[in-house]
Amino acid sequence: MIRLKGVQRHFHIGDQVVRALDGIDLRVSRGEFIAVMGRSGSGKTTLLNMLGCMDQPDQGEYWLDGVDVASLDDDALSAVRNHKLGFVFQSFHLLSRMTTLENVMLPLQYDHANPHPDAEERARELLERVDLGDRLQHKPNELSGGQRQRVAVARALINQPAVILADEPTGNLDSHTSAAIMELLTSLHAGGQTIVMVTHEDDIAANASRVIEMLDGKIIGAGN
Amino acid sequence: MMEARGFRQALRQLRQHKLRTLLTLLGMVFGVGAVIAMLSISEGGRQEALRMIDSMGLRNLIVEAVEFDPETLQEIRAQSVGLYAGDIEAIMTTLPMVEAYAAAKKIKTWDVYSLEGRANTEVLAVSSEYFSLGNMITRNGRTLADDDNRNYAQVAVVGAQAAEDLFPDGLAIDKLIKVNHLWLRVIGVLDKPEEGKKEFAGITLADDSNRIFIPLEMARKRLKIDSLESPLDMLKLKLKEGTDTASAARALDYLLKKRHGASADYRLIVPAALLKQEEQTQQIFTIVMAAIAGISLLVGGIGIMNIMLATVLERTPEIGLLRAVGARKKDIRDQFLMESVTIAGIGALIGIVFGLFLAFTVQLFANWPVAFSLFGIVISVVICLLTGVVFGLYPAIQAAELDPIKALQRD
Repeated sequence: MIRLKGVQRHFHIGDQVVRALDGIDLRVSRGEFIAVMGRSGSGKTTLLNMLGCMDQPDQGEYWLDGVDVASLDDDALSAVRNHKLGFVFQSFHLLSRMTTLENVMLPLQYDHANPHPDAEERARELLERVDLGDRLQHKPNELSGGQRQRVAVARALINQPAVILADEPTGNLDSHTSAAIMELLTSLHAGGQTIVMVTHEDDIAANASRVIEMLDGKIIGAGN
Repeated sequence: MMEARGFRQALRQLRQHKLRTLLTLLGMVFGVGAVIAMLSISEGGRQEALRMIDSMGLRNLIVEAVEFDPETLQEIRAQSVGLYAGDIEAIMTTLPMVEAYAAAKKIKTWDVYSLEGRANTEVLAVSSEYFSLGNMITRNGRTLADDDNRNYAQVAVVGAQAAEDLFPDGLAIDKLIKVNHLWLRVIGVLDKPEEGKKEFAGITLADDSNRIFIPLEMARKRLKIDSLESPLDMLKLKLKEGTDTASAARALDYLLKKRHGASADYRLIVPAALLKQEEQTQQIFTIVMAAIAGISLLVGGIGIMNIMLATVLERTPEIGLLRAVGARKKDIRDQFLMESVTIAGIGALIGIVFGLFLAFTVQLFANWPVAFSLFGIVISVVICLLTGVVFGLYPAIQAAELDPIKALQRD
């Protein structure tokens, strides 16, 4: 599903070179649930951005679902994100002027290749799946944090992505709500969904099928 | 389809910030409003001017007697008797390009009435050609003929308004009216002319509607005319087709100057020259207006750019998210462009309504002629939308070029 080979990503800050990713080799198989851990500055977010096709490697190869991502231009990367990826962010990133339903449908609006006459139907189903079937016309500010994150998960699922990328999905939630979100992600995983999640909390990472530890832009440990 | 959705989203976004949108709109509204109002007024003035010049006849030259106060008049008359039949004779014999002439003399009246009503009208003694040279048509009856002048016929042609005042029941033909001490038979009623101004470029225009026309020779014979008065008040000369009006006017002026000496008791009006002058004035007005329009749209455009830059800044995380879920740079750019064009378009529409309202208010209170200028409206809308594109482009490109990762991090 995902294959990284010798991926490097360096940032130049002043005359300093920050090796955010320094020769990453990684394989993620279909249906895996991977947790990426590491201290802040270890490169885990850069890795997630790379996997999310928001960034491209300076060197190395990145294959996502059979596509050579490193060779794509900006429009093609957008299309890959639109078709193959689903994002869940720490701060939810819902659009405040839109209803729950519209937020979930949003990615399909940018699928220029295919019309989606059933977009609303699908969004409705997904919201029911995350137990928000009775909140379709609510605006994000009328929802609790946990509910917002569930909307975000539904949005990530609307395009039936190859991989869900979650960046500290429970970072802004209390432990009770966190558990509920992790339960949701775990059930998705159980249904065969590939997930890559960045977290720095051990108990959250414990839900994953595999944990990857990063330090200074390198993968230093891959446990179970 | 895509555009329709973009437009709806833009509207929604703008509704989200009603006050901000309104303030941004104001620049466009006032700019377009001012342009539309001025265009409507200028178009009204232009149509009016053209109508009036046209009513004087582009192939005509007009000589008017100048009015003086009593003391000056004594001095003037010592040198010149004023405009009189001798002038006509001289003109017709020396200026071959003059095809026909009409003469008119204002009669001082103290009483004009019929058995049925009274009118406060002007009585004009005219030669028979007066009607054909002024393109005047009768509604009922006929105009004055040469015979009426030759026979000193006590007849009159009345204007539409005068006829209404004198004969409220509508029938005027063959009825009698009394002008001073003289009874006259009505032989014709003129058609109602278009409504319009009474004066143009300092020249009083004929409002034939409230006039009574009587044969010139008859008036001279039967009505008292003060010896100090100019025997004729107005002379209209029709030029042959293809004549250069400017050189004809020069020749006429030369001739009249010779005959009237230094007294300057006449004034020469050249409608063709007035038209040219009017066109030049119009041109200057258009340039000034284009400048004002340009400045106001520039100001409006800067307002739009300002607000769009603020919007991009404010919605940076949203832009990051849209990019993450698959929006291309082009999608982001188009979305922001759509918003700025929508602001400009709404501004233009409100501005047009505002401008027309302004123009018609001016018409109502200042009594200026106003005309609806479709060209002005179309061009305003087009220029406004273009302004929206031009001034929205920079912020839109800024939005599109944001690094999605950094945009997402800015919360």
